[in-house]
Amino acid sequence: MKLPYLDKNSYLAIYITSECVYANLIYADYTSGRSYTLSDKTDIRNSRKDIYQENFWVQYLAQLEKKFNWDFLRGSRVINVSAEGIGVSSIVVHIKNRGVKSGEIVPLIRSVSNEISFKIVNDEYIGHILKGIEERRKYEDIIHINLDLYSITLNRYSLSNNKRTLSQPLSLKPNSGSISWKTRFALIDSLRNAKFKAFLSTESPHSKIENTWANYVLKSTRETNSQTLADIIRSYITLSLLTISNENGEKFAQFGEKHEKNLIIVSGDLLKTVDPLILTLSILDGLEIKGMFDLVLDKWNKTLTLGRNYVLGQESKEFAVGISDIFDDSYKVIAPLVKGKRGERKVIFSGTMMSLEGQTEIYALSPEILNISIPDTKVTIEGKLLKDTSLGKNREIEFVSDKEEIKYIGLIIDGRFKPIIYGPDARTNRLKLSNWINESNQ
Amino acid sequence: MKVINEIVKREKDFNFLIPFDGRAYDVIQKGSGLKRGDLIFKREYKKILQTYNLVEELGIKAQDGAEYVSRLDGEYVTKGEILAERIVRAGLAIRKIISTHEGVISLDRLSHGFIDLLSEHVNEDVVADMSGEVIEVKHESGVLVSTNAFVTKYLLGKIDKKIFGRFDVLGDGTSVYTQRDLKEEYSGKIVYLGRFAYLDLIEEVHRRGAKAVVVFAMDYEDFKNTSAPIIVVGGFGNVNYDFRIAKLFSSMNEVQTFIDGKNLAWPDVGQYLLPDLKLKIKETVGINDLVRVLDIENMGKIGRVVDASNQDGYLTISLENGDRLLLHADSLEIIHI
Repeated sequence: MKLPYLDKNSYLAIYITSECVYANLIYADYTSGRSYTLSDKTDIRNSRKDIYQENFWVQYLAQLEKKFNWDFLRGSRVINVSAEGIGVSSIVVHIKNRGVKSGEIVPLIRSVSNEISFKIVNDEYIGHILKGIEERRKYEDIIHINLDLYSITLNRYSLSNNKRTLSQPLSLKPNSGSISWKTRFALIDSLRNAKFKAFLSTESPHSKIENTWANYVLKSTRETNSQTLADIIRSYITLSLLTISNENGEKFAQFGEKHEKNLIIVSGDLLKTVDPLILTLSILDGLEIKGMFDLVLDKWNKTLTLGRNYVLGQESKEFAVGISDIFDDSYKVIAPLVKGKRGERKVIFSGTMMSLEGQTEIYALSPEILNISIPDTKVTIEGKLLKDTSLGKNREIEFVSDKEEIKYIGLIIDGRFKPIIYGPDARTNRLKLSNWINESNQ
Repeated sequence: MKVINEIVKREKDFNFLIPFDGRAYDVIQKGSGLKRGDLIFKREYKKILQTYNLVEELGIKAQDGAEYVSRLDGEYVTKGEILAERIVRAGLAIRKIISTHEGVISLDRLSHGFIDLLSEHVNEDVVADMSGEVIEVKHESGVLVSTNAFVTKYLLGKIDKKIFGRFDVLGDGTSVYTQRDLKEEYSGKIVYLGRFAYLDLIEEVHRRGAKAVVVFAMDYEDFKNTSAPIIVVGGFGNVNYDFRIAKLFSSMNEVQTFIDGKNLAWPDVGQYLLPDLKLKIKETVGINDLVRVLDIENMGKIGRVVDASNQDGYLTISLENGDRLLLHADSLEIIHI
């Protein structure tokens, strides 16, 4: 009998939200040490009625086989893993608990194959994954941000809020907060809110801004080249996060300040609409973060679909997933406290990036927010925050980027003077943003 | 993967509710088969003789109309009688709406800012434009008919009830029109105003009796401000208007039309050629696929894929006018029209 973990294995995880269906097929050949993940995202906004019909799922799975060039169903039977491109250990469908009628979808997919399993993704499920990641990676504070257009959700799992006591088991429920829009009208009209306008930096005529936003809400793709739209989305995310944070007391306060090892995972449909540096800016300003943390941009929702397998580790019956399988686009973010005169330009960070190919000097200036690209090899980054800049008591920064562990693609340093103030108008915001954002790579 | 967006689809057994809109008699029976030209029911109703626009004439908001009307719904008035008035300039002047005909007051459209003056009773035979089956006769509302239909989803609308009427395309539906292009009256019609419409045109068509107004594009600000029962099918602002979309709507001219809160539906009477769609989902966008741009910058442009060989997911699209675009597959949808 072949032991699956010593040979080949593959696993298909599907995640259904009200706007998209994500699929991740992960494969490993343990003999040759080769593994990879195939991912797909299918927009279903025009098919919200069709997903409640059996024929949709028959076609979806058949086309997914073609897209991945992988056979996983023969009739209604799941094909056992036998070689690359043939078979999966199991198929698990995850269904978001908001916006999707799981009671109707489950029987439809079951009628395609009753060997397909299901999981409901709710706050407790997310808490279970965050707790597992926290334990395995020794993170002390984790926030999961889900950025969908109609609903933005935060879940925080923090060591200090979840200490085990003798009398009470460790709670799996994270601290949660969300903002959601019931109707398209409400979402489109949110642009008229003075708070929304306070974050905008585009100076286009109001009618153009409004038309652009309405078209985006109603039918546009979630990827865009429009500067106006990107600015609106940035403002929308910043305001939404700020609102959730303010409305939930201390739940999301002081992230990055209490602990040293922190993590933010971002998923959702809006992820592809915003440049990573701009998105980081929105998160830093929306949650008013000072500190250091790892930032993972989870474009394929791997945390929710493969995270459970990672948490279970070798106990997973389907597939043992490593951290590099679920953390795709990772950044190290440093948002120190910068003292000095507002607008003063000075070096706040100085360091080196060392790899087998050599050594590069890196530095960051105030009042800029900067993304330093990290090469695709094993890299050690060491540096120091300079005078008048600090992360608590700490000034030394050191971390390793390694595809066997976490492969960071960028180091983002926020050298802006705090507190960050937007407004009073779009023109002022545009000037501030152009002062803050330096897109040159070192 | 891409789920193919059926801009218009053929649905079997679509239910049309044909409203009585008046007193109905000689109504067809439930379970009856229906073919083109068959009598569905006869009705007695009152025609609109004149419509008075309170918003324009009194300078008020549509929703405030009830405060200024001095007549009751159904009241008979003669020529010269005051229908509504408003004191302005701190009591120094009064704006009045005076009846220009004798007739019966209707306040059915008061929430939209209109007072209608109705004629004496008129009789009409309502006949079927379609073949199908009578599913139900709802005595308070109308006759429910099941038939094959062309159905298209609209983007956004201000319709608070089901509407049935004859589709009336302004001009050939391809241009931007003005009030000079309008007919005298649009009672009972669902009027399509073409590629883009401004607020004053929409309001005027509504004032002339249209049951609903359909536009391809308009400004969102105007959409918010109008009190007309309006439907937008394409988008807001500058959205590309492809000839295929224009052809779809112009081919529905004079056809009985139904609006149900999400869809526009027309009975399939052979007025539009729609090929069958076998596969609803495709694993990727490929050569010869008909695609529509969703990105804000080129929104609504429709063309065919002529090159899909780029490894980074970029495709070359050829438009009808010969222009070519290089776009990422993620900013496109495959359409069926």
